[in-house]
Amino acid sequence: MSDANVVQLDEREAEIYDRQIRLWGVAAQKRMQQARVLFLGVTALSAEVAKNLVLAGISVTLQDGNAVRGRDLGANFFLAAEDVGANRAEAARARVAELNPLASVEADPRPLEMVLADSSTWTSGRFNVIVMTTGTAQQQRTVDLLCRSKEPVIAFYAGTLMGLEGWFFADAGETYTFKKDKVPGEDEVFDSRSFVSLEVAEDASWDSLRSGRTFVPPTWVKAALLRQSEIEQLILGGAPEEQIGAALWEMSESFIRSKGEARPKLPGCATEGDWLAAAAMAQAEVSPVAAIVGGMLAQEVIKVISNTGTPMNNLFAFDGLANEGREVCLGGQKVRPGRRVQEVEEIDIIPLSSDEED
Amino acid sequence: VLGRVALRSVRLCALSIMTDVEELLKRPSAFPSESGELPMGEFTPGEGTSSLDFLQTRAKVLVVGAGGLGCEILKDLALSGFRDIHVIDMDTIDVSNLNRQFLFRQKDVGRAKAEVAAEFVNRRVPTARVTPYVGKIQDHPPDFYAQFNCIISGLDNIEARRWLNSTLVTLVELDEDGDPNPDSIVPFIDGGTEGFAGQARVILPRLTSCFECSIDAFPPQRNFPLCTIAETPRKPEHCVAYAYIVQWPRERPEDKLDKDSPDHMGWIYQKALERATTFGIEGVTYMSTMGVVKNIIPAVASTNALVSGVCVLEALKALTFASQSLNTYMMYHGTTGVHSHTFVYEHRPDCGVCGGELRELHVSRSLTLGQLFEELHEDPKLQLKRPSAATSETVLYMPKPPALEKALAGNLKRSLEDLELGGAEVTITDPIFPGDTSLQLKIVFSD
Repeated sequence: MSDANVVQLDEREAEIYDRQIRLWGVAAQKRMQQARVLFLGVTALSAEVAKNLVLAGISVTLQDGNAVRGRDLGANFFLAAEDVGANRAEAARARVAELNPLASVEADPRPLEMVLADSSTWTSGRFNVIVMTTGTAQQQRTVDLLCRSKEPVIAFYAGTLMGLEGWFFADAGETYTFKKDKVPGEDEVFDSRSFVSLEVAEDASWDSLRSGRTFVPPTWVKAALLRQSEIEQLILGGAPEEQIGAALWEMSESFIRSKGEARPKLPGCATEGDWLAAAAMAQAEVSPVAAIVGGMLAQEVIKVISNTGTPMNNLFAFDGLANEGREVCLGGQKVRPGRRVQEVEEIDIIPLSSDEED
Repeated sequence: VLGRVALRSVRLCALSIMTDVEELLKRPSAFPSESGELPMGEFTPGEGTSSLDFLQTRAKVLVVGAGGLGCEILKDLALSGFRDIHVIDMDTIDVSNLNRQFLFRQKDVGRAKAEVAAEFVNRRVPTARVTPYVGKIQDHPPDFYAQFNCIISGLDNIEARRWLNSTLVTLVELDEDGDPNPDSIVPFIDGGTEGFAGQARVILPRLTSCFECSIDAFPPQRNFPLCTIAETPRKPEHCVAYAYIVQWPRERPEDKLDKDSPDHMGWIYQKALERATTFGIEGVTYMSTMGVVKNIIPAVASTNALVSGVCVLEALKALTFASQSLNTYMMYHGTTGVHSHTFVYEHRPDCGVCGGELRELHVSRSLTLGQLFEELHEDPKLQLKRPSAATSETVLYMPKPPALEKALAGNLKRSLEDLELGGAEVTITDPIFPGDTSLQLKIVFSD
């Protein structure tokens, strides 16, 4: 049978990706197969995201200049005991690659600063998305600004796990246009969103987040304090938890007030004990929490690469105590309408087989 | 500080202790925002060592299903420090599983999922000891399920969930006051996904709502009324259904439809397309044809990873009291708007499994027993399959064994009045509920 609109995947791709093509279609799948994501830092969170993306057909580059530590084995399925001491990116590479022979998985063992300074990292089209789960807050802000300045824009995600909690931030650029999910019987609809930079998001006050009885997610309050350079220095310097907790407690009230949140005693970040707990969990990676935050993050990356579906704008905070995920928009407008309706041709998939000669 | 870090590394390498989970359990206090709404036990400071010990030496967890959810659940359990893990699945591996069931590779296609999954995890995580069972959950008696401290299900159908749920609720011993004996409660964590949507719930049999309490909330199984298919199709699925239900048997009576044959499916697709064109319906594609005939559920790795993570997090909390438990239901939608929503699913007093209330049925006296059974099948809150009925004095109907069925078949045509059931208490059993679970109905004539 012949049909001018037929987009053919090869038989292997049609078979393996069948279940997901039914969700986002062949055109989106093709776009995903041509994309590459750079992971800065191989952590439990980025390992989960990489798994989900590679399984879906997206190629990835894993960067990490650090060696595998014993504690990395606790929540990273792609590292094993024999890897302790070896470079983290190189150790994980092969196990991530075997998830899907149709996708390409590379490892970059160079330190972060070198990768960022290398102009080939920023070659147009080399990476569509950067997911950064290591580095200081300042380094993340720098990378985000670099991503936004590129043509085309590189979508940027940053995230961290904190024991039973976790969060990630999304920035798909100043003007991000996408296809909304198609309602059966309706024409394709395009829409756009405006994302602020991580820098703007972190500088912005929190009072716009307060509406009725909701307010800034406590998970982000903790993250924001942990991202203060004074606290980061303590953590990087290996200070004891008690000292970090005390520093957090001391800073917390004035910091929260400075963000325009009139209620400094938010649940979960109100007492000295709260902050001691936050210090203890600051870099704790727990496997199921990595899976939850990583699953959500991966789906956002897939949306942006395939240009389909309304993106999350711009912070997802997960609280594993109540098993609640919340999204808020830090520092920016949530919606900038820009609807266009466009006719789209129906496309079909015919798996290639020997008797389909037309 | 350095000394402590070094000591930790040495212990870790020697014993493969999961440092961060250990830190979680040994922390000095409960997380202050814990409200402990579910009666699952509270975090007790100083119990970290014994919680960890329980997790690693005595906790026994069963994973039901080794597919999209099962693979993720096994990974998370093993990494979280669980060791004695069991997994049951009756299926073999198919190529279309490989986009998300990441414990399987091309070379494993055709092998039993439970076995391959167990092998992979045992190899990758040295502390894990996964035991596989290839077969149906119904092949195991209630005793089998009673041995576990927690059961996590990643099933792909409602019927199996109802069976498992009923088994676990039945296991709970009630004392003379009707209070459950906590030792007989097996926490049941149920996860489900479809495309970008999913849910995870915690069920403490006899304490929280059970799975059966929610069966009326699920959309009805995809069955199209025959008249729509035959006379007035409106959607592409109707055209496909007509092709394989009506046209195939009529035009190719000597061929048994093989859903895996591209030839057969190509034929169905062609016929469906022709019919759709006749009726001016758009949207019939080869892929959608396959989807309707094989009842395919779309699936991706990210949704499965997320829902499985929620399930294992709950299992970790339930068995170590690391923190409060989910109370009781979390829903996830990966598309737009609010992505997740957590709420309490309330227990239903008239639930067929855990309800306990004697249900009164107000019916016409001229309704036949057969018609009553149909109502019990159609009722969204009951959805019985093939009921048997008896009173304290007599057996009214049983579908098996054949000899008994034959002897009692006549009762199906008799009216409830004729069977003298006005005001009677009827005990209904059904294969959807294992063992001696039964429904008590009081028949009240409304006319």
